[in-house]
Amino acid sequence: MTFSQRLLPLVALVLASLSQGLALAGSPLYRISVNGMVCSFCAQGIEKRLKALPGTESVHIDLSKGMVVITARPGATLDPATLKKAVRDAGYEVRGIEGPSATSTGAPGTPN
Amino acid sequence: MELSSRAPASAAPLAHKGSIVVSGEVEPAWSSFTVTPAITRSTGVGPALHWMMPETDNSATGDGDSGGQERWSLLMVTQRLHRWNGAQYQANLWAGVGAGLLTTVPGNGNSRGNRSAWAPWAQADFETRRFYIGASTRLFQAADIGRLITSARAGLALTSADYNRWQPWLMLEARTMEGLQQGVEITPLLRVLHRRVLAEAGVSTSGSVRLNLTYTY
Repeated sequence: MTFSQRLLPLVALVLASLSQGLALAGSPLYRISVNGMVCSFCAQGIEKRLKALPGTESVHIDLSKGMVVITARPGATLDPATLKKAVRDAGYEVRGIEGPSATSTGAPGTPN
Repeated sequence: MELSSRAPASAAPLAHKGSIVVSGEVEPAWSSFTVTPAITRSTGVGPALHWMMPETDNSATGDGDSGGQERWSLLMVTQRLHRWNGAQYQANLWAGVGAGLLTTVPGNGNSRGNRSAWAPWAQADFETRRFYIGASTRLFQAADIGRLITSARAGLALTSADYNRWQPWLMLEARTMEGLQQGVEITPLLRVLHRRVLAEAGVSTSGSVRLNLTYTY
């Protein structure tokens, strides 16, 4: 096996890792300020409805800030009106929606 | 924060649109099992079963149906009349009504079999991430038997609300159950909740153990 043949799998692995990293970095974030979200027992309905949207990768809920952060699937966009309806159907009120913005290091993208 | 037809003091009796709230509560005088599917974001319709054990002396109610067990089988409608969503709070007005059958099980040889029954109720609650207060009243009525249950609750969370952690609460309930128990019953309860699960346990001043488990699908 030549040196180039041995190097090829390593190069492929590095490229794949870079590609995945770039894809994640390109996942749009949406931040929704929600009124009335006071406990996890009620807020789980918001998570469930937002996760059911086809473009959603993950949902992070911060009860103390009344904030829901949605990471969209790479290349996907989420309609603000659809996000607002999902929150309303869960029984809550949207104060505002920000996004899409690019994923940044340390962004709350932890799947729940 | 759920109710099936019988609100475990915090949550709403109804969860998000498309959800199903299943709740069971056990105590000596009154046990219940309810299923409440939310057909819209503010309306639920589902079955409820209540087992009641009236006190032997029911002279206060005048129904003369002492002893034995009552089984109330109802189809309940749960309606959220209004919700106020604030940045730091949530407040709700709820009402509902059930219709079905009361089955009395002989306890003193005075069985009356089945009779039609209905059960209106109302609830108001206010909740922040650390504090809860609410009151509810519900009537179970069938021919000459009436059970009026009125309660008020206050609760304090022992930790701040965190979506990823269990949250314990201390609750205190005052309740009257006309036709079931005499006087005001005070019950301190420990509540824990986490996402789909809400559980409560407590012992009343009369020594009754109460357990409640609610799960949202």
